[in-house]
Amino acid sequence: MELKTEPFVLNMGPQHPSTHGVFRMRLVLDGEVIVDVEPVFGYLHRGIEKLAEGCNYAQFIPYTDRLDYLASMTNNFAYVLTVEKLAGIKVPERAEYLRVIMAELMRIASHLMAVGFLLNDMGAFFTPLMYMFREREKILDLFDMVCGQRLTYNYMRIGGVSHDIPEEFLPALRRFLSEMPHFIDEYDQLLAENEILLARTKGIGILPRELAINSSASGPVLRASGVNWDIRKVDPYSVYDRFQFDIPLGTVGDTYDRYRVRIEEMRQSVRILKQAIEQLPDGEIRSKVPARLRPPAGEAYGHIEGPKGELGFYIVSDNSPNPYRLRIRPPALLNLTALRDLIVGWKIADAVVIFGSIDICLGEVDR
Amino acid sequence: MGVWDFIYNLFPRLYELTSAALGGLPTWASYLILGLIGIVLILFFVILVVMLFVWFERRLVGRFQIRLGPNRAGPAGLFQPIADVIKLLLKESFTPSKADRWVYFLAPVVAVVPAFLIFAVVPIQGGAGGILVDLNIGILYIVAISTISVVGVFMAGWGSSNKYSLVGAMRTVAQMVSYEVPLVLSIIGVVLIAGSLSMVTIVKEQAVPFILLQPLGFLIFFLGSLAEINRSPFDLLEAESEIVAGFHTEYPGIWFAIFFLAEYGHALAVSAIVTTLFLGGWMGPGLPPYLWFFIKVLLVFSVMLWLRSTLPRFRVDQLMGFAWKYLFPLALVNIFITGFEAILWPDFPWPIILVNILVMGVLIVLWSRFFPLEEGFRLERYGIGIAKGMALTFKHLFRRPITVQYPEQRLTPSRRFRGNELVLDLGRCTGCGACVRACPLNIIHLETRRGPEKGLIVERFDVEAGRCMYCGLCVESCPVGCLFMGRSYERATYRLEELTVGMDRLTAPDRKPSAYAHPEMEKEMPEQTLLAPPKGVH
Repeated sequence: MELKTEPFVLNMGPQHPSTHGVFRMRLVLDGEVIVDVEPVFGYLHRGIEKLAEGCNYAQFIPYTDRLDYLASMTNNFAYVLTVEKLAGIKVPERAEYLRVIMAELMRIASHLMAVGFLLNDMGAFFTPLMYMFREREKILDLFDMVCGQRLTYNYMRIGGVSHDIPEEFLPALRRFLSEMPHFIDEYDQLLAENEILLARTKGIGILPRELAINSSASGPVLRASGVNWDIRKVDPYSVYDRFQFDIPLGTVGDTYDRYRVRIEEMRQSVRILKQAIEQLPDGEIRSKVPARLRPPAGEAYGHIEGPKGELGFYIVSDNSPNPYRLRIRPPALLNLTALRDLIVGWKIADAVVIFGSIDICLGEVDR
Repeated sequence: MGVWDFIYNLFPRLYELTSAALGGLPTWASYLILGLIGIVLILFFVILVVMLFVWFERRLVGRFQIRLGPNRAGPAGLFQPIADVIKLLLKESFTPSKADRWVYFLAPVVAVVPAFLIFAVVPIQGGAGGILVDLNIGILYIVAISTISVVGVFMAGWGSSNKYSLVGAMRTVAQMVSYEVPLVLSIIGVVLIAGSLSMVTIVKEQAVPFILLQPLGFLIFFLGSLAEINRSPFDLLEAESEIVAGFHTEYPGIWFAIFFLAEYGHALAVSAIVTTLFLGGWMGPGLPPYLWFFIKVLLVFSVMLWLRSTLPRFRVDQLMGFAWKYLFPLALVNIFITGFEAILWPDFPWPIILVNILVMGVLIVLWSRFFPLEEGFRLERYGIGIAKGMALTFKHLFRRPITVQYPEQRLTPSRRFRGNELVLDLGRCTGCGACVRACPLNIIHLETRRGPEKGLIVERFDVEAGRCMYCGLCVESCPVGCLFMGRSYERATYRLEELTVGMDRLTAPDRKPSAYAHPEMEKEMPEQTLLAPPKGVH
């Protein structure tokens, strides 16, 4: 007897425990195997790019906090970098170092969340996530100390940063840096050799090198596929050319490599931070910039290596206090474009894990 | 009959007393009444212990995750399960419109009944009264009964006409049927040594606990029963991150509670069976036998929790592969070895313990090395990685929790904290309106009039706090330093109009300003609470 079967459609999201917000995947399933997937997003669209046209340049900084809310500092960073490029503003040296310190701390915090939630998607019932939260908490304490907030920092300003660090900041940061490698080792012990984790990630969701480049993926997703592309190295901004650090690369481009690259990047960030504290100069933290900045008419594209990939801002100015047009290049959205190629043919459980390994934040995807 | 003797042999003595009281009745009547008492006792016992287990699980998993865990309802949070049950009872009970009503409502019942039935043959203590019925096929009865709950789970998945439920139910059937096989086969080793299927006899035969004589059988049985009761790392049918809640996605309130009871009842039953088959049941020195039994059950359950709080879960095909490619052949080999030993050394001398442990190690290494779990993937680390992870979570059990008892224990935010609502020093305000211009959201409303001499008098200063995003740009832009961020972080309001904060509230004397953009105030602010490093690290 021949059984008649037919594929069925499963709407995963927008309300689902592991869609990292309000992402929706319309899966066509043959049993447990995914035949087709149609990503649907836009549930968190707030029109941030349009809002920018109604703000002046300084007023838009708090809005950038709300893009990728797990990495607000780097959003601030990319935006002010672009405006400074557009208006030709010099930034004091100390401010540049403070920016790098904040950006690298943010990278660690964002990667901690990425790895923690990836394991949660894999079913590790919150334990690794809670350990990651503990480390992230220390970073948030540091941010709180500097700028008074724990999620939406609004710390960087055009031409510098809003506040100098308080005197208890550096001792606390040094203590964090001395503890952090130990904790990364602990996570490795908890997870890296775990047979179940290996079975769930090795060879799953392979993103080939060519496809990674063609789909304009960036960040850890791209580097896991073995492409040596890190904007901190290939187009150094701020003071990144003064630090020594390595770019961790994957070989296969599977979920395990993406996980591994993030863990290694945390170690490298600790390395950068140690050098940054050593070199931190004294002096001004903010250059003189008019409150209602009027950059000359023209356009500029500034990009940085955010925790999730190349975060870029493209601003067109018509010499008025407000941007004429502002466009954000969200790394998570462009990394997502390869999703269909990644998860078709795998099982539901893999889809969740592969999706988690891309590490998206819907605030940034939908804007 | 001393007091200690009564406590030590509690259940047999109670049984004697009751049967003496029923002495005047005909045999069938006393038999019936004793049976009914036993059934009621088991019902109460299971429900009570399940509640205790839920509490224990949440507390222990909390400690593994460096949290405090529930500790509010009653002493140490002991009444938390009761509060949960009350909450579930009060919830609205709905039925999905397309549900198959009969199947839908029968499913929880079918799932929960076997969990209770198993306890009929679990011996708590030796002698009459320690067990409801000492069936001579006790273990066979358990295997037969526990399979029924699969039907309940599948009925739930089918009846609620939800795709997540259906996927969960399909997984369940495949998983439970597969793991049943190694589970039953691993019992045979025990039965061979004990020479009986009766649970009481099996316990009495364990001068040496069978976990030592049957290490491989224990491992297979334990892993198999974890899969049977859907515990991590085999909790696929309710994998939250994949299929939401699996088969019970569509069950509200009390129906969900019944499934919950079934799940924990089964967990309790499996812990009891492992205790009986492998850990020597009620036997132990000093303490009363039933206490030994409970201690061992709790120990087995703790190991389950430990696994749950450490491991990610398998994928569905890997799960099947693990059952059929690893556990099944190993269980067969185990029967063979045990039978061989039973012929050579019928009374199982102690050196056999070492031999068996050695054989187990060799077998695990062999199987992991030569049999791929799936195409191209072998368990090449023989479980060492898992053991390392478990050692780490165990270490965290003794580290300081990172959560605090909130209303009693408050963390101090930083000196520059950008907290709730603004604080206005009206005496210094010149009404220049710099804050109004700086605000990205245009939520500061300022009205001024010309003063009698020179300057402006502020008439209205409203902030729409409901829209405020606490960016602090207004405070930074104030040229005279009359505006402050607040320090408080726990204000809430129930009325919409209260979200617009007027001048009287902004200038109220009990307002606590923060030092944001006011560096001169930083010295007088309380120190920020930082997360302390855990004990035993640096």
